[in-house]
Amino acid sequence: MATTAQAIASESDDALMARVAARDADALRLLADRHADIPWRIAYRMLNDAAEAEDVAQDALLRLWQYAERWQAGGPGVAAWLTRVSTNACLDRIRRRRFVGDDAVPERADESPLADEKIEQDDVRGAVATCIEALPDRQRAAIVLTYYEERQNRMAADILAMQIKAFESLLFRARASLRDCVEGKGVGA
Amino acid sequence: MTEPAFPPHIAAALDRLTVPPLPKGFGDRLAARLAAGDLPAESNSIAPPLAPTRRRFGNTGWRRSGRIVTVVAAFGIATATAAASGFFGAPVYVPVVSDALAKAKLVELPQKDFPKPKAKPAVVSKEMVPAKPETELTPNGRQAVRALYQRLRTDPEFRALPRQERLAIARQEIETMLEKGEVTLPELRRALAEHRLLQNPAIRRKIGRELARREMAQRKKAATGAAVEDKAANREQLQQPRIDPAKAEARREAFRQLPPEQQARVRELREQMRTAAPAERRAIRRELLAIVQSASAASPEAQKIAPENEGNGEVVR
Repeated sequence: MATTAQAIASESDDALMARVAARDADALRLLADRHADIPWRIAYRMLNDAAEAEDVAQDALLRLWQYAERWQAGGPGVAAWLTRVSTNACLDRIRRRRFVGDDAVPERADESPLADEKIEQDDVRGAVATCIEALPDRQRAAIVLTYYEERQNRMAADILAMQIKAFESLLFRARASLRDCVEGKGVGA
Repeated sequence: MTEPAFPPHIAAALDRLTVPPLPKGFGDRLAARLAAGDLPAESNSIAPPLAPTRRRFGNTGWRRSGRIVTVVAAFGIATATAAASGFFGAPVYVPVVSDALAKAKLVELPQKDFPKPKAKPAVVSKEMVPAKPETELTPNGRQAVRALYQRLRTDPEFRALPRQERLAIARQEIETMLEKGEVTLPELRRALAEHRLLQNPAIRRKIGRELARREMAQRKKAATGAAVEDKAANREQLQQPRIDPAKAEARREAFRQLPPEQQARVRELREQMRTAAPAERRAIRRELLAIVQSASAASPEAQKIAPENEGNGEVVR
């Protein structure tokens, strides 16, 4: 039994996706163990909200379950797919916030165990998070993808469905805005 | 080496935005949602499986409207092109498309669709005109038609007839001319067009003005020619000798008959007369007359030496 579990754990992402396509929940759990931190990180930095970030991460993995039958082996891989899907989901949530407004969203208790830690975040972290949150949605995604996720510009542009030149221009503006904001808060000085 | 995205102090601040590890029980909650069938709504804008690139605007209203406008515009252009290229029959002139097609030498440029003038009652209907090739042009065809019109118009009996009868007679005459080959169909058409033009009062006034202008120009030209002729005649007259040659010869002969001293005196007096004042001339003339009178006894020819009138300084040499 342990040998079977080890064999499954050593399977490639494509093989696991084939098992997910066959509706194997364990395979999805294994994929989540491997890659769930990617949508979690992206969503956490873009949304600055642990609960929403968990929702985005779970949705991304459940979409993997939904689209498993159409999965094409040998492609960019599960990590790239989750990066793209979670970025798009975050952008959609940010845009929805504009129309709905925070007041319309019912208050929800932050049940994450990190709530206390969040309160205790130091000033620098809070200032940086505020500055990132103040950026326009696409600029925010560009900073998260290129700086924090260390994606290449071309790949980030592809995720945002932009031409590389347009993306570089967007990234330039995002960096300038973020630098001004952080310096304005007296953090980097 | 590429330039760093941020200066070190900014990068250090950004690095403080750490992400905590996944919440505990994440996997369990995921499994629970999966078991409960709590799946997210399928959205191609978020997770496109085969075409991973995300559409920027999705299937929004603007996109739909853009598609509709594009389809309508494309349909309009296609229809205009088809009409201009003659797909529906005769080519129709469409402002930009027809010019482009003609430039590309795909179709010939059709005539623009101007509103056609109301048809006047035709003097000759197509049914009455026998089929004949329209290429032969006789030189006097139009003149023949014009002459026919002129003849009919000046005929008082013809003018007294009712209009229908006049038309019938004119038709008959023209048919006869066509059958005889005195006029071809194109010439007839041209003559009719000219006739219709001449019926226009404005054009008739214009023609009248042009004829008057030409007549005036002709008169002016004729007057100028007459003046030139008069000048030439004067020149000829001036070139002719004023004295009759026979008379001059007689005067020379009379001069020769004079004695040498009188001849010398006559020469001298004539020479003085050339440069003398009018009063002196009269004195010289009197002296010459005296010489002539004294010599007239010896020869009647001597009288001819005297000058005919005062101021005429003609010299007999």
